[in-house]
Amino acid sequence: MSKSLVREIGIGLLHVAGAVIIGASIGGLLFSGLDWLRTFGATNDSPSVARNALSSLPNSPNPTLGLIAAVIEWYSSTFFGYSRFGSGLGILVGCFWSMDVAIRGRAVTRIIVGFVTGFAIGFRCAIFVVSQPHLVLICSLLGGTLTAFYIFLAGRKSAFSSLPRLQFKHQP
Amino acid sequence: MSESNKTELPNGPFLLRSAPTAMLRLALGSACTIATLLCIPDGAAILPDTENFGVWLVRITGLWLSAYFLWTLGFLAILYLVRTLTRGIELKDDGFKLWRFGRLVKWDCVRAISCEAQPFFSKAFCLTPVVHRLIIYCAKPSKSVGKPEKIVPHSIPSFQFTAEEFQSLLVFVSERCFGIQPSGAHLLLIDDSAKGQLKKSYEQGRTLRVAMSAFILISLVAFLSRRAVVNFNFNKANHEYRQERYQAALTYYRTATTFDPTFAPAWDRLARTEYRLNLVDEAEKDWLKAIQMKPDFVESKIGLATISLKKHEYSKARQLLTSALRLSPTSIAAYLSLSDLYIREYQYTSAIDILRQLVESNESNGRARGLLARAYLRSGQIEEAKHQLESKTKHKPDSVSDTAFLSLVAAEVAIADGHVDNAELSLTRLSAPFKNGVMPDDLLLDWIALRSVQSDDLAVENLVRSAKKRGIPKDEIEAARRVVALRSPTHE
Repeated sequence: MSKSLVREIGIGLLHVAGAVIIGASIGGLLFSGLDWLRTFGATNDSPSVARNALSSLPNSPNPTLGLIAAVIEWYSSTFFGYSRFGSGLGILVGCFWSMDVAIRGRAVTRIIVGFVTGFAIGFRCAIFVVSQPHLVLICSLLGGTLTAFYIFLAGRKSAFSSLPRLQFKHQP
Repeated sequence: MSESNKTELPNGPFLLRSAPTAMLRLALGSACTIATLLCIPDGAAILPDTENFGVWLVRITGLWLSAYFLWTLGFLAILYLVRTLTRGIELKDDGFKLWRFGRLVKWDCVRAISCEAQPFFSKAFCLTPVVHRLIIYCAKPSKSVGKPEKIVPHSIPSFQFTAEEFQSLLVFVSERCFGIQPSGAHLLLIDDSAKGQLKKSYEQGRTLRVAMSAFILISLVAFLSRRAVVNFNFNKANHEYRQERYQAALTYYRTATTFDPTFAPAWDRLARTEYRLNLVDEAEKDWLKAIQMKPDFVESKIGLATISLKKHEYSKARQLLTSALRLSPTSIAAYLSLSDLYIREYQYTSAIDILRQLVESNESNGRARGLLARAYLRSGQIEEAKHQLESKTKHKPDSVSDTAFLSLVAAEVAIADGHVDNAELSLTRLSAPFKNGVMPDDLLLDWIALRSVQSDDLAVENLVRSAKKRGIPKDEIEAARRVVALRSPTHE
């Protein structure tokens, strides 16, 4: 693998990580602000929450599943209520932006960055529906594979060229 | 129409894809109108829950901004998806395709081209420059012999492209089909031989557009009215619920869910109200509906877990609570239910560990304090249990139900401590509201414990029969009967 390719992959992965973190933070903050506005002056009906998670749930003996469970718990305790929804939107927006950047790269870059992006999309979509680590892992892997496949295909050189700039007839 | 001035066209094939900047402009422009429309019913719906105009203004601003961001992001995502699926307009040497899987329309089938401004559409969705619509009328040979060819219009709106791209498309199509370079966006180029058919096709298109506009208008009015009814009923029901007028709240929540069966928070609140009214089966069904509509609805999962605990289905409760805590690791309600489950499954150390943290973080949490006292009592630490109950006088519990729960646990401690008269007094007071109804399982078990201590075998037998009928597990009944087991080793 050439040095420039490694650099390209590294930059692509940094793009994904940055976009996901920034997207989640902005989305989370934005939607918790919006929630404050929407419920301003109304009686607080939202369920009470502790400052920190009190005890971790019994963990899986499998280290991968344990890690997935820990990430789900960390994410859920960091973003709760309306900010959970907002951060989810932010992650998806960040991922799509990363895909748009990665599509211009070389095939290997497209596959690797596409897989990571799809993994993040699959993860966030999965925890909307399920919370079992093994199901979340399956959805994330599926998301990663499909996205890598899509970006690989979409980034191929097209047989079409873009329409050249044509102008209206100049009228004196 | 411009006069003929044919120039050399570049060689294709070309692909004209929707421009990201144009899609963003459309999403942002339409978001203004859509958010405003959506806020009309919300403005009325939040009235039951709003004190004054200032509060109303802040809340409506929040709602407008939420709708604005959600529409922009959601619509942009849809536009990108459509762009990916359709790919774009393909301009080839022999014809054009409007999308990836579309039919190739030959250039020599084109009978007319028109391009006109859409000022109303542009104003409605705050779009500048003014949107134009290019319509390419193509001939489709008739299947039956002798009949004239059919003219089919293909519409291409300019809002998917930048102004330069749309201009290029217009010039390319005009030159390719009629050999004319247009001088502006307002254009009508017709093949004289198809005039009659074109008129018919244009009129058909116009009728279709009017019908479509009427349909959209009616749908919009129906949608907004429905939203107004749903939100108004939901807010009114919340108001009634907070006043503890559960019957009235039930009616409003039911109306909200009838008008919008996909509204998960209304199903959740309806179930909560039903649970308060002791309609446990209905509550279970409605909590399940809430989860169907919103699979990560933590409060509904906790509600279902509470019912499972009530029905002594502990493995189901554990599954629900694990899922709830994974989705919301700071939910106090989930921790309370989990510690209740631990107590029922004799895991007192785990329960005490969680409950102590809950009590430390909020000393007026009566439910946590009561459960902690119960966990201490059952693990044989009666002095600790008493200490927790004594603290209740220093820290006023949050609600009436918390106070009742603390009294129940106090009665349990009194039984274990041998203060039978005090326990009887407390239990009689707590049982009064259930004279003509069904008393909670906890209370029934405490009566069994009390009567066992009093050696009233006949009463114990009747109570045990009633407990078995309800499906309370045998070991829990036996534990209540062997109330001496509750006593601490020092008391023994």
